[in-house]
Amino acid sequence: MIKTYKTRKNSVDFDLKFNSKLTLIDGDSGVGKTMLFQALERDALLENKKFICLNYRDKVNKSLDHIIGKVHDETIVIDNADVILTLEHKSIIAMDDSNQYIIFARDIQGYHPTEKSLATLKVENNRGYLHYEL
Amino acid sequence: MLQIYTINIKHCDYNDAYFDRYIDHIDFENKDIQHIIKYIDGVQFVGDMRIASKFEPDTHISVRELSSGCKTAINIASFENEVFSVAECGGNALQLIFNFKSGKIYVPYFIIPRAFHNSIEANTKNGKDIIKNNKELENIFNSVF
Repeated sequence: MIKTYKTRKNSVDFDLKFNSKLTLIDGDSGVGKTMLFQALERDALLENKKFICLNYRDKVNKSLDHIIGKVHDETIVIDNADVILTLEHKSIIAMDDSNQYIIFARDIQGYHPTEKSLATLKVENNRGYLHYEL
Repeated sequence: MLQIYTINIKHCDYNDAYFDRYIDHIDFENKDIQHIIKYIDGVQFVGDMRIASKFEPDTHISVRELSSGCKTAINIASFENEVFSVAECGGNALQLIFNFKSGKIYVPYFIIPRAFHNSIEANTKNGKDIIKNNKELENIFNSVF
């Protein structure tokens, strides 16, 4: 499981900490969630980081169902989760102990998260971090 | 009056894609649209379909880099006969949208703005209601979700 991760995009330095195998990230519109997703996607491509990144494009090309519940020991990052994941996907994710999930979502129904799973992305003075309301 | 739907009505879930597809029909010179951009994403429209970057000084980027919540609000304001899902809108975007005087939105789960000042028409499985405040909206959503 990835417990800490640092990356940078558009002059913002992200310093992230993960407390659980499931992290649900919300935050105000415009705070930088998609920018962070794009940074992780880029890192996966360029630096051979062990991320699988999914967003609405993967719903179009139908690759969601080939990954969720089908892979093991991966870190799966999902953007646009509120519109691309079904209740069935969320149920699979909730019971999946094999993979780590980092999911950008506002609706937490169906994931059965713990307090350690719920994070808000904050960006202050070009420094991005996850705030946990424990 | 803003119309909200919790019943399954034909609506757009993919606001980024809709925004991109119909961007030529959006009037970015309109002051209301520029206010949406400033309020939600905290950036200034600088003309020619560009905005000032929030994180990199003196850098202008395409309006296509606006957040999903901001694009959703712009879609609602620009295409008043279409219904748009607010599933991906943050609290700041919802606060603005719920104070629109017109437009149509689909609400897929329990979402309450901080406050709204105009009456809203709510279309739910219980029928049509005119909502005047957060408490009434909360009661309606509690019966629906």
